[in-house]
Amino acid sequence: MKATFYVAIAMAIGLIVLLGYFLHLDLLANLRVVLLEWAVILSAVALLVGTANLFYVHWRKFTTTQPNGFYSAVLIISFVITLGVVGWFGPTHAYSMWIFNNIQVPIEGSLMALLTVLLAFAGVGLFRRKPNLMSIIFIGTAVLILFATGPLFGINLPGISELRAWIAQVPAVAGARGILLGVALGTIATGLRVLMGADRPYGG
Amino acid sequence: MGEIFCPMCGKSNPAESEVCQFCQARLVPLVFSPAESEPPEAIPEEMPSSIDAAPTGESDWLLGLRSDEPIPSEESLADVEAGGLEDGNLPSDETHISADDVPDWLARLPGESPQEAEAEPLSDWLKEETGETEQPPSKPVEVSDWLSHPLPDEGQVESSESESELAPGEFPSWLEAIRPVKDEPQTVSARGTPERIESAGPLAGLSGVLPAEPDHVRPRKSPTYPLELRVSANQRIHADLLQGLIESEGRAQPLPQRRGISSQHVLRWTIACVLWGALLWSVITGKQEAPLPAYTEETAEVNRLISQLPGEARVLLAFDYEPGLSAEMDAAATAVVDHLMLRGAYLTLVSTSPTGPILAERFIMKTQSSHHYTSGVNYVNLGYIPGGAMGLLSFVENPQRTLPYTLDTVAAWESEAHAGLPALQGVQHLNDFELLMVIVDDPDLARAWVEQVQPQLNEPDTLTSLVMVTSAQVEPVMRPYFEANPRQVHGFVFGLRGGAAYAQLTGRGELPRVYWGPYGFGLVVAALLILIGGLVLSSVSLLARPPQVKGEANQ
Repeated sequence: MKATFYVAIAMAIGLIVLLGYFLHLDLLANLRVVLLEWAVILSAVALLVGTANLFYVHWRKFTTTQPNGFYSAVLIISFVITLGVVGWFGPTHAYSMWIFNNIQVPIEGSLMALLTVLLAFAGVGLFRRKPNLMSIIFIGTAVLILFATGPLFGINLPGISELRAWIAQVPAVAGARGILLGVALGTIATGLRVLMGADRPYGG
Repeated sequence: MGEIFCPMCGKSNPAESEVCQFCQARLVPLVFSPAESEPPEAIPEEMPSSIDAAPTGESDWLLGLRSDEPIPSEESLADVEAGGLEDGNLPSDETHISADDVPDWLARLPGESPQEAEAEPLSDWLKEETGETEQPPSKPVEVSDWLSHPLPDEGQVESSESESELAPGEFPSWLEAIRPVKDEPQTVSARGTPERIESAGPLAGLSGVLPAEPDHVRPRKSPTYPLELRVSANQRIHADLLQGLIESEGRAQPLPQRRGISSQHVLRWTIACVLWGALLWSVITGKQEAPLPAYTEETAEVNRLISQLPGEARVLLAFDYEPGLSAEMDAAATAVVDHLMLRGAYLTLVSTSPTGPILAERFIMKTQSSHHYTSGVNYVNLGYIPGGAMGLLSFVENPQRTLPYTLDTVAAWESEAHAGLPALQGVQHLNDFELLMVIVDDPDLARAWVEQVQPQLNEPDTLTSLVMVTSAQVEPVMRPYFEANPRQVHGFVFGLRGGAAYAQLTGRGELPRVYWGPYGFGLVVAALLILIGGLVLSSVSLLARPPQVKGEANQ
């Protein structure tokens, strides 16, 4: 009984939103706007619940003296300080911006820098691990794009910019178009399955 | 205190219970008991009168079938027929029941004694029974044949018992068939097992009958099995191995001893040091200034659209990237946003990422401080749009209700009670913006913006354009939208290369110029590292392999 109820709600709401695209009726348009607003509110609440759950998990890990509880303590302290500063002074205050500019941005930027070193290391080790044709093509393409993207010490190698443009606009775009078409077909199929009740990501 | 379990429901009952207290199933097998049997109401005519006389050799069970009560004589029966009850007297002395034998319910009946009968009038039904009612005389009662047959009185029965010369009665065939077979040898079934002989009840003496209650439903004590398994030595080894595996799952494994310095460590540190050294040298010396790249068609299209904007145009600017990629995205967008501010555009900032609104504030303050844009005057930050693609669609459908306030909790939109902030005056729908610009680092987010926003821009009389500033990785995804006819994205700038090209177009934009030289130097160093390092390592690896492995690899 519950499952039928859930399916009925999901199908009805999906059909209303979908029909709102094709039929320009005031009733459908208003319903569609209301339903979308509900979805936005629920998403925002879900974000708050996720944040509270994160805090609770680490609080329990810290209070029960589990291994690596020190890191949980660091997270809790950071969480409380950031919440207090941003909540008290506002998100655009100088203190809030200081935390963002001097802690969050450098940390995430450092992770990206580490990724750069690791990718270079993986590229160096690829020939040794899998010395086959695909590895040669992969590394050759990467090296060519790296050379052609930058200024190359001001040296203008003939044809390298054109080759880089061809790789970026033909093989890469062909792959991207294939991905987009696949995503579109998959989205349609998934939408139809949800509308018909075959897929029930909402449970029931 | 003993107890017995019901074979049907399995619940416990007192040992003396005959039926289950819960399911009313019978607990004691139904066995014929002479004491519980009632006297025969009638004796068939064919039954010999000497049935009470036990013939020689007659077993007890048959005697038990006999009634303990004396059979009424013919005279007493005749008295009953003649209305012996009219007087309230019982038929005869032999059938007289003493007061002690009378049950309570019978004693309470009216008319039990003559005095009470006189004191209380008989009820109608009793009058009918006794014939006191003034009814027309009924027909004479027809007595059945068996009842009219003279029965021997008690004296005759007693005398007949003593007459040994009397021939034994002939049993009917059905009775002969169920005679006990006490003295007969135990029969054997077809399977060679001795058959069970019924010991009680009407089927007593019969062999091979189905029991009334099967054996398997009778409660009995469950068998006890030995707890120790008989395993072979091989099975014992396997069991010990499995037990060891299971126990080791919950145990922390000691980490292998690290060697001091491995070739992998050396290689990793070498690559990192080379990259850091190249970038530091380039930044510190500043000698890697390189000419900015040439602009491309999509970049030139963005420049053209911004150049054609009217003065004080309303522009929606979405900041949808993560802080980790802010270096690239800031450099790519600096020249473009600078161009917008030069045109005096009013900016409305939104984001579908939780960190996006702060990144937008940071971008305005850090890269565009020379324009002195003020929050709430020249630009308005509407904050975060939750819900991903759904939230984006909601914002496209009705921006005023999706994001009604600024990041500083000020009512942003124009209404009857509120004039609205300058950046949003005259804006009711998405089409009221002159330009939509999305700064995005993720291909999926970029696709979501195009797919959700573009249908709104396809409406007639819409002059709003959609342009993108993306990271380098999004370029292949954006290009199909740009090359579509009609264009779904009217222009885009990708990565630091695109930002530098835009800076080349406008002649402004400090950040991409600063980054461009070290960026190119770092790219070349990384490419050389991969190329040279890969060739060297693969050569060393091939040479270090034993000949046998080389042969296997060739195969």
